[in-house]
Amino acid sequence: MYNNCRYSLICVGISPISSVGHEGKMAGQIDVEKNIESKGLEKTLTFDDDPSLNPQNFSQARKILILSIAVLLTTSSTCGTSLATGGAKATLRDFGLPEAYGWEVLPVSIYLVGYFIGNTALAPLSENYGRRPVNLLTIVFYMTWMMACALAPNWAAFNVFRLLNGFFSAGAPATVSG
Amino acid sequence: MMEIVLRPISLSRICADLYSDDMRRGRALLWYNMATTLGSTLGPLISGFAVFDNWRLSYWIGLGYGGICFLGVLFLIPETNSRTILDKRAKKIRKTEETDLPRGPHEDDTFIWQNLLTKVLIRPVRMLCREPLVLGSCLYLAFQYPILYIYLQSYSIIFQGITNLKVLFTIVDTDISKLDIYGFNTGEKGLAFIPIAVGTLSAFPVNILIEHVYLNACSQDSPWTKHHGARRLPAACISGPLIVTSLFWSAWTSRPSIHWSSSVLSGVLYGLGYTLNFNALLNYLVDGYASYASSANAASSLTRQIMGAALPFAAVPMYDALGVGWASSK
Repeated sequence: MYNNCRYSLICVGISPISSVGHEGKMAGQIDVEKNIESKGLEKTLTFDDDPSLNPQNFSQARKILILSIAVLLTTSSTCGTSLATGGAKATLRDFGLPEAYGWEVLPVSIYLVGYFIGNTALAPLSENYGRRPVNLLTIVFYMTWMMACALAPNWAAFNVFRLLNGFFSAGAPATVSG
Repeated sequence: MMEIVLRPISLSRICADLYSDDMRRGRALLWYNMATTLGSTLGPLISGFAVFDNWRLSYWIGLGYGGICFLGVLFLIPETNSRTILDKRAKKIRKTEETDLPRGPHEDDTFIWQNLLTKVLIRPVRMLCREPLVLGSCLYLAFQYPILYIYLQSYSIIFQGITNLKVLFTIVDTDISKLDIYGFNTGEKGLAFIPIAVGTLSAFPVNILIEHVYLNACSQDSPWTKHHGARRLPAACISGPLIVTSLFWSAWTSRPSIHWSSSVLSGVLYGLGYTLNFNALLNYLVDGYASYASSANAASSLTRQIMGAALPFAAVPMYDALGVGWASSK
């Protein structure tokens, strides 16, 4: 049934409140449905032969561990947004610029622009390639651009680095939220 | 060929990977939303103290924090996307047993660019235009989000003072001293954000309390639980007055004659209200649009980030022109 949905995707008529949401049917249960459809064919792999592999069946402790790392990750990416505020004046002074208010806000705003673009672009990737590769790659780039910010030679470069830093900080919201 | 497919079903992410029932997923999401607010308050705290040494130090700390996260993800987070797991496993089985079957659930999908465009760009905008529910929630969120940033900036104004306004904005007759109320240094200003973090963390027990009331009402068949928003919206209803109270509180007690602790403590209410509100509305969108949740989310983040990036530029001119009392009240 989900394949059919794909073809009708372009002419979507969205119904406001689907009853589905109230029964708590989320993506994880698709496997169950798939299984009912393909019963007897044994063509499509499901979690039936080894339910312990299904993330939904992880032990509570393991789920909490995963969630707490996810929380740490999210904190690190949103912390990056406001990391520029405390030192804004010192940054401007260091680059020999006048301490103008609009320029103090720019590093924060430009990070948010990158964050938004990244959030839009990375979410589909995490769906297709899995959460792990997306997370690992984005953190590596996040750290790279964070280091670039710390070593920025001038104001323009600093803001470009902030933009890229914001883009790759979106790995956490793209993989965790929802 | 790149085998990317955009599935019509929701872009579920780690929270939905782990928990399938609404209640537990809602709690997991609450932690995520708390983390976003906590992160925003952590930034000024770190950079406020780091700047005593050198402003570059705060980015080195950010780098170190990123490194810890990298190790955490590398060693402690397994793949949780069930499709990726199954596809990989199917490939492995086929290799070891040298057969053509089984296939993973999504291995045969092919890439459709049209889907990417529809899902990520066109559908969110269309939902904004056609769905009053999405439009309403998004507008509310887009209103709250820049208020958070303006509120965070008002801390710089209230506790530290802005000294060089006239460079970019030519404001006539600015009495700078009226903006500098408590004269904190950057480190102390960072500490002033802690009450917001406390408020954010207290959103968790409050939310459990609200869930408890809801479940009780459900078991007694109260009529209000029949409404589709009954599960999430009460929290949003509570959060409204909390935010407004906090803003008025900080607005009219931030003056030299009143001790700074009053202004600082208003942050507890703000953190609590903001987190409850965000969590309620985002969950409401996810609940309401089951398979289109990702598009609804995209719509909300679209409106939110645009406002969040643009509006803070207006904060200081506004505070300067109106004074702290009236500006926060607006």
